[in-house]
Amino acid sequence: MTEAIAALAEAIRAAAASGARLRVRGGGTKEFYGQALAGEILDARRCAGIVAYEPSELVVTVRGGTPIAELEATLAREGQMLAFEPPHFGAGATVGGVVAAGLSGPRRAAAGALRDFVLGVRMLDGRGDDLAFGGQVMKNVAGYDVSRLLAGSLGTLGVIVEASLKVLPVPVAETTLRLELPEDKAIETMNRWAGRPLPVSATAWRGGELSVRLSGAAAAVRAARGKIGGEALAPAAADAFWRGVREQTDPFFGAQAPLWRLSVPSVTPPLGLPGEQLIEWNGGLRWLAADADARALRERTAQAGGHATLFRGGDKSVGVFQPLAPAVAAIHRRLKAEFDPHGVLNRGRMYADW
Amino acid sequence: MKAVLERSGARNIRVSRDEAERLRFWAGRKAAFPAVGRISPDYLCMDGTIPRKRLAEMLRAIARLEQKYGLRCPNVFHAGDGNLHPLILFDANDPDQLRRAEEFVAEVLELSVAFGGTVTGEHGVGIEKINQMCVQFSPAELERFRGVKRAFDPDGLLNPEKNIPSLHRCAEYGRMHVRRGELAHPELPRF
Repeated sequence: MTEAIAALAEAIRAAAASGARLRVRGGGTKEFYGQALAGEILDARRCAGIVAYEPSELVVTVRGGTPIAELEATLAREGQMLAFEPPHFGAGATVGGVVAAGLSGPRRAAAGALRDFVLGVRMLDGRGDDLAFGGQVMKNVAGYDVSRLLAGSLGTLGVIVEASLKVLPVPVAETTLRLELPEDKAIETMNRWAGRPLPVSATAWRGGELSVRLSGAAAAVRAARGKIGGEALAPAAADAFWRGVREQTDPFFGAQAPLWRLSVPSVTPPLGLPGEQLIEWNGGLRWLAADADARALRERTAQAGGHATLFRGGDKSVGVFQPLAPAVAAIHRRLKAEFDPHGVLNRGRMYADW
Repeated sequence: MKAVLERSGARNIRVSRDEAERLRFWAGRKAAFPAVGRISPDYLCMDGTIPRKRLAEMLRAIARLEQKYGLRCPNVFHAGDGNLHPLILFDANDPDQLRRAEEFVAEVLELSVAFGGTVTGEHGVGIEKINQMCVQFSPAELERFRGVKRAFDPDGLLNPEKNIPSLHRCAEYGRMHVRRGELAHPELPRF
């Protein structure tokens, strides 16, 4: 395995020396996401396998090229899980790709984001230097939190060859309830639940139906079910529904229109935008399928205190990610220059100019 | 919980019977540092974090270091997450005690790194633990930290010389980077 890491490092060093560009690729399941793909493929899958897993320590250390499905199956055998419920977006998605994409699933509003579960990484930067940040322990404030900087960096700062992730026990009991509510009432209701000690682990609203998942001790789930009401889904149907939301295989995501991901404060009232919406995370995440004018949409989202990402499809020339304020953009460019001074890795994947 | 504790050899289990007793139990934790302040003129509080399974090993190592340096070291810590707060007792009016206390600190922090942990779990680095950053991180890793600092503070205006050690400081400190098994037998306490 040391040879696999050395081979990746050598490929990066060679590219840096010759001025070539590399496109870091794991399972290739998220190539739809981001600004542009450029350069020769650097296959990160050659560096795979679980390095250390001790269920009692609630930490797993795993190579970046390991399929995320394989990791989740290993954890499930010990009754544990990745609590941020990462979307795979296809077979073959890898741990490194999941961390680099930084995307979290339905449980994010209750459990925390992927970034919060990254305890440490081992990475190869744009010089091919083999670096480790963070570690395997729950608490660690030595140095800047570079491992969490990599979460969502889309491979622009380095190749993740190893990640240490915090894991949690699978909930003992789980049930999904469905209520009929219009958008405004659904947003209000999700926020009211969030302010109470209820074991809500996921929420999703679409087409006048609000689904809520309760997870935890059996008694807590039972008591909360009494308070929330609605119709309970059969366990298999509930699993299929949340998987559909997480993996975007739910019929909502079948629309032909471009898919926007709007991140706003959860209490934001209905945005009143044309197009269909699916709302998650107690109102904090709003998926919008619409042929929207990017500028107007971003202005509307910014007014609400949020930002808009062109997640799938559409015309990427409007910028996939919300344009950054000049001072913030300058910090991004300087960070890129520090970690990848020759501009080798995933050029233009996040913002066109770097 | 009771079953787990008993299986693990608990000799005495007490459950608070009312709010007053609950508060009394926690007063022991909350007043631990002030109480230590009453049995010693000065103390140095550490913050290393290690994998929980190595807690016993670390406590034994600290007990040996108490002998080595001739200083007492009570331990109060977050047992659930492996975050230790050894309190090294000394008298700052005695320069030799201060020197011994600082060496004691350095050894405990370096052991934390060798055990697969970190020099600080929650208190941060500042100045006091800055030398041990040279032990926990390689020169290339430290240079990336300096790069992050430059990205946010290109003119180096904010708290220079804190948090991330300079190359010069690490060279002067002269300790080795001990992570990833680069140090032979990292499991053995080094004396």
